[in-house]
Amino acid sequence: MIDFNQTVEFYPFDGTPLATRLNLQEPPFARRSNCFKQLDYIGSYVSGLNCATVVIERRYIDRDYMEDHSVFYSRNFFPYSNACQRIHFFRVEEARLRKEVMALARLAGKDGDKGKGEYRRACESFGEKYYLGFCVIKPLHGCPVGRSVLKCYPRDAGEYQRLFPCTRNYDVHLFGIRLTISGLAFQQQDAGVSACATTALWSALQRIRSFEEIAGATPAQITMLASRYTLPFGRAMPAEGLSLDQMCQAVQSLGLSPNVYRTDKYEYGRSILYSAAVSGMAPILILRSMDGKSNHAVTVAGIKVKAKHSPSLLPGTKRADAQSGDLLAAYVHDDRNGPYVRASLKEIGGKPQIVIGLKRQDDPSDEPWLLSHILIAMHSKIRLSFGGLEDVAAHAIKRLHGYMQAYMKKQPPVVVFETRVVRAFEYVESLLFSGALTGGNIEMFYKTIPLTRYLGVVRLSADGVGSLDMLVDSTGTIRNLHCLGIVFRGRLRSRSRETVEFMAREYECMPEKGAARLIFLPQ
Amino acid sequence: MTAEKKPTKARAAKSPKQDAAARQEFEKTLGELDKEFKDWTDTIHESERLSEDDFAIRINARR
Repeated sequence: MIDFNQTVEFYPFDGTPLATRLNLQEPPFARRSNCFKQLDYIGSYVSGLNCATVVIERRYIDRDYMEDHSVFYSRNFFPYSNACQRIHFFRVEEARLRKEVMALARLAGKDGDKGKGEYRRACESFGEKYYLGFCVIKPLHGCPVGRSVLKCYPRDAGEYQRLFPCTRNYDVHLFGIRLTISGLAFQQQDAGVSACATTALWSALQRIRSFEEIAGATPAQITMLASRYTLPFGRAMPAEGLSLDQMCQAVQSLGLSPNVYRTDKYEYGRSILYSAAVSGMAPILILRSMDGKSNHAVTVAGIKVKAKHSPSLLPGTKRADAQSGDLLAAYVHDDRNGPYVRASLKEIGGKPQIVIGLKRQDDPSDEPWLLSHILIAMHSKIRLSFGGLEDVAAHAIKRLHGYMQAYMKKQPPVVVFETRVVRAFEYVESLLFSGALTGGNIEMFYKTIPLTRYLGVVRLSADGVGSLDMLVDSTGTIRNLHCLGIVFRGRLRSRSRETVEFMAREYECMPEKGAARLIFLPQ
Repeated sequence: MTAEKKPTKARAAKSPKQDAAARQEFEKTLGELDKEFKDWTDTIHESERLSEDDFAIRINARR
């Protein structure tokens, strides 16, 4: 007899372990604490976001698990099901949740097309107000956490801010209601089709897929792509981990370009991590254990930065202040622990150290690792590396300082700099949001500054000068690089215009013939 | 907001002779600044120069 078990159940979030709610039992050869560590972490995470009700879909088909099942678990002697469960988290009591769902269903049937629009807006507002995300539960009780997307921590936190530029929107359907959740998908490794390297790649690719047309890749597919040409550690499955080379192969096979940086110097590691994160590239951190015996991979979903900038001069320099110095920690998807885990950035003997902690504050149980490399999967047309952008920043700061000293006979100011790679429309959007671009000047902006799909942005800010963005062509390489234009933002101070014009001439943005690629914006 | 249409001379320089002197001073200053930034730019270049050993590391931390 066929039993689809298509039930949806409501439960109060009352401290009952999620594993109990989901009827999970650890397999005979496994310990409970090992099997449900990630699930327990998710329980405590949503508890921190004031979860009040859970809704469980007892039968849910998940594309990623279906593929894992197809290539691996369907061939087991044990009859694993191809269906999962899915648990949703809401910060509203059950009675109120049911009432709101009924109200939305009633609204959907009203007023034809006009009603549809109203219904969609009501769904959006309902989701924003109450929905905390979902977690797919695989029928693998030794490693049950499948694709899970949870709401991120709130932005403001007193002396620091939490930013989540490496997230995206996911649409979720429950009772026909479209709920939208902003986050980055997480899942734990199963050591069958995936180890940490595969799941880290899988999470990073989730982000890129939201804006580039690349094929969706499940953990099983990623492991297979990584193992297509080389098997340095023997068979691909059960997964025994990947080499960094294999991770790059998987990225390349999906039509992206793997960018790898060795991060054995603290300030450099910090600057690459910061720039890649604020660029929304979901960088993968390759970590080495302190005894050097094992390596781990985690994906960055967000960062924790100081709310107020404090100076951090580049090593050896007197007046080059890196904005990346405000980076305090990253929020990473660590498949050994859970989503959005705090990974504090520290310095140990001049090297970057990542300390993974599951509690809100530093704790003796925190795990230290050395940040050895950063892998960033990027659009293949972005030829300019993040290191290259740092080089551009240093080049520009030297010219700005040189101008102040040689032409203006003034002591050069401290220049705060930041580098990032952004899609052109996002850059323009940020100018619109800040009020720098308006209906009155947007056309002029488009006439003045040519834009590539991805812009390399070097922002320089200094007292007495103001803030200017140098936009560079990300399709170029450092030997043949071109500055697309310079955007000055803010109030022009006494010598700002001369300085900015000098920079524009230095970078060929004010040619002898033709229009200048320099614009002054009010904010 | 204005878009600059024509190139203008650096206003700090008063004459071509002064301008040339300032340029010379500027180039000299750049040379000094190159030295100041050398450690940083060397770090950037070395960190992107990867070897086979970098790619051979095995990433397999157990849960």
